[in-house]
Amino acid sequence: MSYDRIFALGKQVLAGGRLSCDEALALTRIAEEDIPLLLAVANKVRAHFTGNRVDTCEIVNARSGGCSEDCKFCAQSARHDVKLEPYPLLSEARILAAAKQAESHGAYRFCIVTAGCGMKNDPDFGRITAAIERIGRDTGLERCCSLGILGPEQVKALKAAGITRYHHNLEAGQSFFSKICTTHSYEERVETIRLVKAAGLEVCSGGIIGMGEGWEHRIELAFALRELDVDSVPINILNPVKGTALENQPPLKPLEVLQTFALFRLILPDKILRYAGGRERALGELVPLGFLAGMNGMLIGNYLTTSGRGAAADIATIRGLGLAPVAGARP
Amino acid sequence: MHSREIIALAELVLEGHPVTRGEALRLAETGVEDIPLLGAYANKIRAKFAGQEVDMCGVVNARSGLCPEDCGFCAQSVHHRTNCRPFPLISPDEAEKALKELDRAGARRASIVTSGKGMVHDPDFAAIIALLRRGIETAEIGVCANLGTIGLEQAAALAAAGLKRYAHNLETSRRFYPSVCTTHSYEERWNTLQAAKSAGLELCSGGIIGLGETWEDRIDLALALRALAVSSVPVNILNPVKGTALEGQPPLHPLEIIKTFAIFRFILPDKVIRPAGGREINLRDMQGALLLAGANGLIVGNYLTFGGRDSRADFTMVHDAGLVPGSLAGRKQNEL
Repeated sequence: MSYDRIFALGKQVLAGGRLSCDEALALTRIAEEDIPLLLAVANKVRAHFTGNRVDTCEIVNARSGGCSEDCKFCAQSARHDVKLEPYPLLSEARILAAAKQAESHGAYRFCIVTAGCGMKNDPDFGRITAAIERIGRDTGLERCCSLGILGPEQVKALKAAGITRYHHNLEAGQSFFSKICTTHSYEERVETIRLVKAAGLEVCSGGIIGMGEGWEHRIELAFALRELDVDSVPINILNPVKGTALENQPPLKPLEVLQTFALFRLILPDKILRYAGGRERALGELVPLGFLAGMNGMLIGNYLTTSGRGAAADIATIRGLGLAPVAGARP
Repeated sequence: MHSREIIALAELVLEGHPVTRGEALRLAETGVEDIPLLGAYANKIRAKFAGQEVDMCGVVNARSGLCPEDCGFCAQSVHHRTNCRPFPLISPDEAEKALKELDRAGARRASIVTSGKGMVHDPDFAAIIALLRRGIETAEIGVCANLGTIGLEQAAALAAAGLKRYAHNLETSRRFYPSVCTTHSYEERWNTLQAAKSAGLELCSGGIIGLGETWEDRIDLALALRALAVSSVPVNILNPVKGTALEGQPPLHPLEIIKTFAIFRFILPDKVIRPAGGREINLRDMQGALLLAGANGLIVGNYLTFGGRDSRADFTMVHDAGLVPGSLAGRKQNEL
């Protein structure tokens, strides 16, 4: 593909046009020396549609490990032999302390994450909604949570507790999903997202790259997220944890990772593309380039089962690029 | 500058046309949101004219401090009260050892650097020639020299000792030079480079940004280097050392640094453009971005008066950018 075509497609998106699946696939086949041009186009699209604000969030792993599901990438699956101490739901005081710490780091949002299939019959659910309410009283953070599969009653209860956004990844393109998880279906994930949206909540949904999927699967994922009209798209890059089924998965080339971000930006011009887990290992010193390749969100601080560089370093990276972390929690 | 203009100008450069001063000044007007585009084209120009190799070199501070000159940025000037420790000329053994260390760190060439005005009346010159001979004989990597002002006589002696490349920065533009240094002139620097060139030496010459210069100054520096047909262009970013005249100089924004490197690549399509001292402190975690915005060289290891970082981090960064550390081209055996 000639680089004239990269610009032509960039212009099309800047003018409000949509990228077709074939056009997106063509952009996966550009020469390596042209990847920075694609990144620059994505950067322009990001600036045009979303400005210079970077949406930051922090998460707390509120209940870890022992998960019944078999997602191949996940250190928390009970089927994987991972050196990870499972623990039951943290006390409300500890969850609140994590939220306050996130707020002190400058995070705009705070997300409570729990291991497990979901909340349909989960005895902890009432304590989780209580913690959400408590964070609402005691901090100015936007509140999110990521609790797995939900039914309509749970969605209603979470909304009443004050969350504004629910996180639930599609993880991968539909045609690849069964290769990474067999204990629940892609459709179940979509169903939860639809329920959440129908209740008027925002949705944060993305996935993981570097699991052995092809470009077509990544494009498929991005188009599915566009179709679902989600608000925020976290992109994780596999950090192959020892003991998981994907422990030996070879890493992606850094330029391929950046190219993926750029393609997601062109497919999802006005959404929040959120840098998530695995970025340090996958990109090394090219991490800041993600923000010049279409990213405009960041999970700062630590991830669920792996550590980040620290929230302060993450915020410094954002500012160093002339971008502004979304400031000021809600009044 | 509109992105359309950047693209049009880049196309011209890719077709082999040199950019004019006016065009380069237009590039300097690139807005923040188009810096990645400018950098991406610089990357494309680099790939086309300079290939995928990143030239890694190191420096050996062979005589430090007590310099009579008053360059405002320099920790080695006697006009400045810094913590820089002066020392006399190192021995050939010490030079040999330092070159071996840089070889181990992965450098493909290294420069023997001495403080002071230059070699025209320097009592150490004969000892420096002996030291260089030893280095050239024993090191597996290319040996360069950076000894200040030289005349035709010294240039010829250096070439006769087996030296291939002389390093001597222009530092900044002719216009701005007197604001940086009053004890010698830009013309002296220019003449030194001409003397080295006429002795058949390759030139490594660049400068330092962040001194308070304008975009015009930076572009005039790059154009002067183009006129001199230098092989390698080290670009330092001021690290304001306490006690120097420029200690209070505010830092450049990382994106402005990236923009500077990109514009240098537009002006010097086929040269080695080498981020040098100050990259760590000024760019922090954005050094990798330079390698995708036109840079294709690095100084690894320590700088003259302050430390660098572990060179392994630089090699990882080069690989992550999809580039390859310079082959053995700079190594002596390949030159023979």
